[in-house]
Amino acid sequence: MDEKLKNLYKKVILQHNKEPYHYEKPAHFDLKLEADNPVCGDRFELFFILHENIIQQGYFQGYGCAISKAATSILLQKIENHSKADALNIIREFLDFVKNTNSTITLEELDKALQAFAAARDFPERQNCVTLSWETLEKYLES
Amino acid sequence: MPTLSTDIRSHFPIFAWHSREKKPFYYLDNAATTLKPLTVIDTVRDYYSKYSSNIHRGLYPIAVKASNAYEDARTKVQHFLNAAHPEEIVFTSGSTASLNLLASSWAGHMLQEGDEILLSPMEHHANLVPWQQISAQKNLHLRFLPLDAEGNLQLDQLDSFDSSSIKLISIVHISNTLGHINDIGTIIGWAKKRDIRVIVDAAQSVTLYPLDVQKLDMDFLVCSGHKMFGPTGIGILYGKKEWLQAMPPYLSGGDMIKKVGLYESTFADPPHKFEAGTPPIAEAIGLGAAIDFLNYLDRPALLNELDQLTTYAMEQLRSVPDLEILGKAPKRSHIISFTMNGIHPHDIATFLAQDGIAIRAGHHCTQPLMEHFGIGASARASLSIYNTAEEIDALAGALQQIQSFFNS
Repeated sequence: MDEKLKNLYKKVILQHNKEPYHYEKPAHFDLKLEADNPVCGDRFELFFILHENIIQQGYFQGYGCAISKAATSILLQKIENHSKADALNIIREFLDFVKNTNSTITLEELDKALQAFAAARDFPERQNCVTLSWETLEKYLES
Repeated sequence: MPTLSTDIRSHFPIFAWHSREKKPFYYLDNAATTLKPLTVIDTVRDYYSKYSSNIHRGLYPIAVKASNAYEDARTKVQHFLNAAHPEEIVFTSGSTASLNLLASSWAGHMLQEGDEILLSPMEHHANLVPWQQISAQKNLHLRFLPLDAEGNLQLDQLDSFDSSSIKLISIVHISNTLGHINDIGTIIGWAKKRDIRVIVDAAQSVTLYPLDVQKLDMDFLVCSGHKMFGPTGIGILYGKKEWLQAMPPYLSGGDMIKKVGLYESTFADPPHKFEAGTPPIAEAIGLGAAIDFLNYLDRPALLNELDQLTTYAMEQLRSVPDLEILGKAPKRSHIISFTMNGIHPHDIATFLAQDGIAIRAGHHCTQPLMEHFGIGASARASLSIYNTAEEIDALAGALQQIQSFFNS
């Protein structure tokens, strides 16, 4: 099997696809966002438990490919217990790394789970899968 | 194992290019668009390199030649569909544009508040959204013929509808997602008895299935050139002369007028009334070449061989563990949608792409149909006259590998 492809579907992505983090609708939540990609039909509901300015926890459910599911799962892990401002920084840094070919962020600067998505840069047609939930939360945090 | 004539492949230069470049190429996305034979490519290039000019106005030789070639293409379409008159063939940019034209100019002017339009849940969004839009504007109501669990239209339910308010049925001939062939003869027959107009979306069927608009007594038919081995950007609207005459223009501007004053204008007769502005000239002439190509082929024989190849493909796909084919139809064409347990169609398509296998993944612009099957997306392989059993084997083999990769 092609090496590039193996890189895209690293163990960490397959693992998150099989056992996504917080993959359920919580009994109580303070914020619900919808991450939709009308082109492919992927659709996640993101639920957040907030305390003042802190995103305490995030949950999700819905339908999407291995990459979009893993990317959402990892997003929720990364921003847990971060302030909204911190979360926005984490998101912007990651999106810059994935989308911007001239990004100044190096692979080493990203933590391991996020590095798994580096191969997405070789598959521009799959970039939206990586960024779907990240951009949805970015848009909310910017507003 | 069925084998389609390898001769056919030699007409399509894209195969030779991939072979020279040593790139594997298994094109199984024909429901999205078909490949183009050399004769179509050459015809388009000839127009641009030898007689590129605007039509219907120029008085110099190449303009006359372009105008004639454009109108010749219309006549070729007329004969291909066996329409009674060339004026019944309107060139549009594609099926979507044809349906929007009908929603706006036919339904928008012929229907009254409370009138009903009968559709099916398996329609392409292009045969759904325009009706939603015009219904919202004019307070029309949409009704839907039910599907059974396997995605078959329940035509025996037609009589359960109170037909007095139904003024239009717009229905797909072959589902672009399931490949099911709908019995349009029965639908048209039912509609005629009740003075209901019928639009047939023939985008997936017109290429290989004989469609005689007079014999079937069709009111309207829409299709797209690029799915018939023709160029993109050109489509067909067939409409009975009397209906087209009664309809107001859709777009207005140049080429669709009779006389223009400062405050009011009169319009040309069909089909030019519906062809405002400079039309897709090269594309229309290219479509004419595609129709010549279709006429040159032994289409009944090819259709028969393609049916056999599809049966072979279904068998091969069924041998892949945990693969499920969407819908069971008594009559199906060459489109096969499938899902694989726990593996998203986009992941399937990305893996296949690495092996040079082109399929489609997603909702195929049929979200309500996806909902009917309780899924968000499917993978879709769609075959055409140049596909081979080897390509099917490559697909099935790759799907087995994907299955073991994700489940290891």
